[in-house]
Amino acid sequence: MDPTRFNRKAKPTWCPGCGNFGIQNALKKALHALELEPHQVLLSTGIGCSGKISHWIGAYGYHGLHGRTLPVAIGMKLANHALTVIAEGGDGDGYSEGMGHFIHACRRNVDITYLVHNNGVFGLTTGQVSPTGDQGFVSSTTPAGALERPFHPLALAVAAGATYVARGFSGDSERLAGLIADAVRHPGFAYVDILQVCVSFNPAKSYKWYRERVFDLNEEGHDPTDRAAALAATEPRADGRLPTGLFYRVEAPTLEAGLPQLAGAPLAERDVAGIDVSPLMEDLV
Amino acid sequence: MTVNRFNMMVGGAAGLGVKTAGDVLARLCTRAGLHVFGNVEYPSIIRGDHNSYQIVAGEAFQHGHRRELDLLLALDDLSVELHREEIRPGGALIHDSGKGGADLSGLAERGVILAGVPLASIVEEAGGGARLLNAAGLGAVMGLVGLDREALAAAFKDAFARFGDEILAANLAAGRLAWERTSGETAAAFDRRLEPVDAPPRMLVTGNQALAIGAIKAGVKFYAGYPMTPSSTIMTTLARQEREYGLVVKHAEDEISAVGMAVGASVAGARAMTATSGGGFCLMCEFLGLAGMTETPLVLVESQRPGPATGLPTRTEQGDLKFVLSASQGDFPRIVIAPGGPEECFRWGFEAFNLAERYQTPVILLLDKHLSESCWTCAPFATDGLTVDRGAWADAAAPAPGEDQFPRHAATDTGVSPMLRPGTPGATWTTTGDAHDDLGRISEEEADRVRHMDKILGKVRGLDAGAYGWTLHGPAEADLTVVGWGSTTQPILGALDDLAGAPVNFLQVRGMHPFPTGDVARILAGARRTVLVENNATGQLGDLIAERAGVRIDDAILKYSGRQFLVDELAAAIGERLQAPEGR
Repeated sequence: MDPTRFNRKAKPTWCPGCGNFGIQNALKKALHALELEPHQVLLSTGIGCSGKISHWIGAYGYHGLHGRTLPVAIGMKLANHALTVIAEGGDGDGYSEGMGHFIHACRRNVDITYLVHNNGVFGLTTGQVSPTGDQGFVSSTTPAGALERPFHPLALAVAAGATYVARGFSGDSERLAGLIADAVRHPGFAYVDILQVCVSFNPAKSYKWYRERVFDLNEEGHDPTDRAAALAATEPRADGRLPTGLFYRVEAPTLEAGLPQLAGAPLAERDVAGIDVSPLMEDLV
Repeated sequence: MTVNRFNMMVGGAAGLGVKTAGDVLARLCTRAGLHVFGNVEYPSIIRGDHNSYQIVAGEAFQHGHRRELDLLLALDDLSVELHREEIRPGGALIHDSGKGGADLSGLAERGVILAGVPLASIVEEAGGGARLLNAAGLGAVMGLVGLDREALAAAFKDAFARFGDEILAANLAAGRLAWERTSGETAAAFDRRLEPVDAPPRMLVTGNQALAIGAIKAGVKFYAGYPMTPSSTIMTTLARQEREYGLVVKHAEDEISAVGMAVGASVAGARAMTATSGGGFCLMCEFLGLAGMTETPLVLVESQRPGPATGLPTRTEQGDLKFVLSASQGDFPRIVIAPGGPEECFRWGFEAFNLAERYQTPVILLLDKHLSESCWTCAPFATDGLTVDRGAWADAAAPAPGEDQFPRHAATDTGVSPMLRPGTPGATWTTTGDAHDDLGRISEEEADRVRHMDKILGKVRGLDAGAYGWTLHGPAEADLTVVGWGSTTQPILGALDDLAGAPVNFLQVRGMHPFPTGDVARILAGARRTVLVENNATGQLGDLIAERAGVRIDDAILKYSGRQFLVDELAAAIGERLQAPEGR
């Protein structure tokens, strides 16, 4: 077995040099490392360059709406808890349009994985500032520079109760694959924000720019079980360095653990013929 | 003395237990072998203002409510003020004689029996607590309609035993004290009696309960929703059965998430459903189109309330028909059905899942507050003849020839492609809300676009709305044909009963899309005179008929006050037309 079993014949339409290629490779490597088969994986992806990834990963894939990957993924997982369900989209998709779902997914703790391709810019609509774009970012909708401050999605995730919070970098596919595999293994809502290069619309933040700044938090002794330390790690640094790695992890009961009706075969596989509703009618007599 | 025919109302501020008292009386009549109709009216507040629960009971089926009250139980003065003129001569008013705040002038002169009962002091004597007020009121009603001590005790036990002995005893004490005040002379003067009759066991069921039971029968495995009157009791009914019937009911963060979860569950292969009202449906529209585009089965219930915006949150209207028929961008197939009563809610709550999977597209059931929350007595629903049809599924995951993925949208004669449950070993599939080819790959090719549109729009052409989409009630030949749909079906049928023998019939339209065009056009072409009855301001079904069948119905009885037609009100309006000269 090798990671190519997750290949698709169809070729991605991303720009040459797009950070999405690194994420695509990392995801295949992670699924391979997890010893999963393509049919055991179901992707729920959003709209934007990132969301098209479900067309180019050899697994079941549902490319849905802008900002709505998480509700779809939660429905998928509850209907078939035997599947590995991964929601995936961009920062515009997940942090702009779909922010409400993100917060609730964090506190709901369904056993799914959420990957966000975060490049600070809307790519597919040709370059407008996203919620993680820098204040002052000049784009077609912000010609005088963005007035809003960016928010830190990892701080929000920790505050909202996410049980696995990590950040990777699209230019370090090996390390990213490790974080994704770890996230899939984690029982509960596992979230990986991925710093990603957009060569077309945010070229100032090039691979070189990121490589000069990213570092592995865990190699510098960060304790991912320390919630306060995780939140502190999301604060901007005076030296401009960008931490990656596992920020926070905690064991907590999944939503599914509170649903005894999920014991046994997945709901999607159950026979629905001949259900007896006479007791329900007798209750009304 | 008239036996077993009642039009009663319980009125009081929100929080006084009007709903509980009404339920107890509705159940009492049902257990006595009567048919019952119950209509609840309440404002969108938790405490104060005015709630009412009207119960119409008789030995024949009760289609709806009427204006003339035989009995008003007023738990507060405002109820007297609001409803005193509805009490008929010879009818009775139970009011709190201890407080004396209500204006009773002229009632006795009109022949209304004033059954004054010191409700507040009875409550105090029985142990206090405002919660006993409705129990005292119930005791007074039971005394007035002729229940003896034993029957009173049995009715209270039936209603309150589930709350424990202490609560039952306190309620019964209050009930007895009030019963003593009305069961003697006052009852003797009242011209109505409740006398149990032999009848087969009947359910007292709301449209939402019936629909939820139909959905459980169909094997709904996943429901997600966001509370919104008047759809909420579908969710609460299903939630109570979650463990017993092995389904997941998820209260989502908003309606977008609710429908998104249902779509996700359906993509994974489970029968999935959501329900909401018009405002929530606004938020669901994008997912509705996605389900259509990706050929995902979805059952969605839209229980209407008066809009626009928050409108009248707890009242009724049929104002969303056109919206539901055209919601979401672009053309895609949808099946829209408007049930006309509790049995139809059950039947279509079941069949919707078959249709959704057979045609792999959204099915919308259109209810409204009146149908969702009113209750009727029905024989237990017949379940033989209900067959689960899950549509076309592939059991082996073979890739398309020369390709590396399963053709989720493969071309077929019917336009329906076999589904493949994720998790099935072999070739996997992708699909997308972008325009796509047969394999579900994004394609902007003109030929692919045209093929895809023809495929999805062609699917439901195989569904013959003529077979289920309409019913002609009454004689085949008539001077006047009433045309209506959904919840107005019941008051229209009640009005036709009132006009028994008159040359009038009723075309109930049920299939809104696909539309039974041929049958409706034929029936209307053959009708001598027609009148539209709709619970909205503009006659939306009339427009739909004009668009589809090319027939314009010029005469309309429309009501858009946020309340359903009363049976007698409708009988009068229809009767007027029967008497008016042709071409009025």
